[in-house]
Amino acid sequence: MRPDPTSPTQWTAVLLIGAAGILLLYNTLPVALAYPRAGTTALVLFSLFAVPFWLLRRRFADRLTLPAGALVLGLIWGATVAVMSSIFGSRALHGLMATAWGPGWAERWSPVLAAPLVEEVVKAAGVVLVVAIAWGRVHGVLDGIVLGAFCGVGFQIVEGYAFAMSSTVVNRAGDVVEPVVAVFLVRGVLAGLWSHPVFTAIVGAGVAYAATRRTSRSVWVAAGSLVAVIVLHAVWNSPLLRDGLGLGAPGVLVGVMIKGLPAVCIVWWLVRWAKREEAPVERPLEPA
Amino acid sequence: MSRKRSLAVAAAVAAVVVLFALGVPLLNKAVSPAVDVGGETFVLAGVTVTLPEEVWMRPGLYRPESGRAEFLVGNAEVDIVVAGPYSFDAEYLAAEMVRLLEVQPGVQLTEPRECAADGVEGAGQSFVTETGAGFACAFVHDEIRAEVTATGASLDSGTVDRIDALIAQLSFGAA
Repeated sequence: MRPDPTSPTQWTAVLLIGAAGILLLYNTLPVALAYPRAGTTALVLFSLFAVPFWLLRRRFADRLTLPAGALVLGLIWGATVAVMSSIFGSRALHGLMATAWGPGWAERWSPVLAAPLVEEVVKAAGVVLVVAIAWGRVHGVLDGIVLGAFCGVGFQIVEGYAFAMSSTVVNRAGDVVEPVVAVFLVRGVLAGLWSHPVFTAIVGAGVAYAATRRTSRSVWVAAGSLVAVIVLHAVWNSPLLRDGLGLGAPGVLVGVMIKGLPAVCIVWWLVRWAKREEAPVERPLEPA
Repeated sequence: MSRKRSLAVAAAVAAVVVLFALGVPLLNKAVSPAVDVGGETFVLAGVTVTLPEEVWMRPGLYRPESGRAEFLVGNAEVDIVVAGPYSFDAEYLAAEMVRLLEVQPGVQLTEPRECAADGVEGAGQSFVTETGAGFACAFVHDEIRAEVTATGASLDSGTVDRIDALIAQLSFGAA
């Protein structure tokens, strides 16, 4: 994957990531400067998300052809363009819902109806863009799953960081790390790996399927994968089972698993299907 | 991939991003006008505020369950955040608000400010920005905290008086 000054897709990636990166820094830097201990802790903790997915790439090295640069590009897209577009888009959809159905209704249902639509579509757009940039280097569905997971991880790192810093600011208790650790335990350990990386991995599988099969049916499969993750994400964000049916922490944990497991099972099945149906590559990736 | 197809993909991806980052927000601004909420009462996490006349609000900027609301008084935006439980006092809360204000690009702190809600004395701070001025007020009562931040291109004395009248209507239950 070499820089090509005549490539429209590469220019699109550079310009959008550049613009979103500046906006992201403008929005996050003041808070990080005001709360340096909390900010550093949040950045380190949520960056750990990338580690298991880098190990995943090594695990499937004999079946992947997408270069590391493409995965890094996907991660950066998820961390910048996807995050910033989602903030603006979700906030505006919230405003439209509040105008149409009232502020209370919008506050309850915007996370279920607006956020999944905006976030999944923009992350999927990033996967499509990276596949177009690395055109011809996508061997099969596994490449798409790993690319999608990286895009989702980028989103998850910045979203987790933002939630942790927001919690620190909202607490108004000084530059302390307790709110960051609490958010990491809830959004990182309990709920982190179920959500964005898994959702975008499913879309990545669909996009890679369409890119390698190149039939009209495969395009519908890719579109279907996007619709499916929007629904899965909406269920994940919904208040359904959030109270753990009154059974306390064990009930909440069971609720998280019931809402999160379907997406994980789909990815697990897709990986098995891809390993069965798609031959290993002749010249596997060098272990990174 | 052919140049033509690459261009089509680039255009489609850019269109999706522009739609959500610019298109939907512009549509929201166009179809969600500010409504006159003067005289209405809002409850924010246990704190009640009855607004003076000629106060406006965009529906999407009222989040009752989060204890947040943003009102328009003249050309000024008045942001109210209520939360609890809070174990520090108003001076500490004001210092925490200042901590975030002073690292914002272009913001310069000026003088401390007196703030008074309905029966509750608060602590405050004035500041200027690159495009205008503002002030922040912090209140704590019975472990409930309320933060008011007002900003505007030109906070004339008439607007400031009206914002102070709004703040004076903040009622902490049995205060």
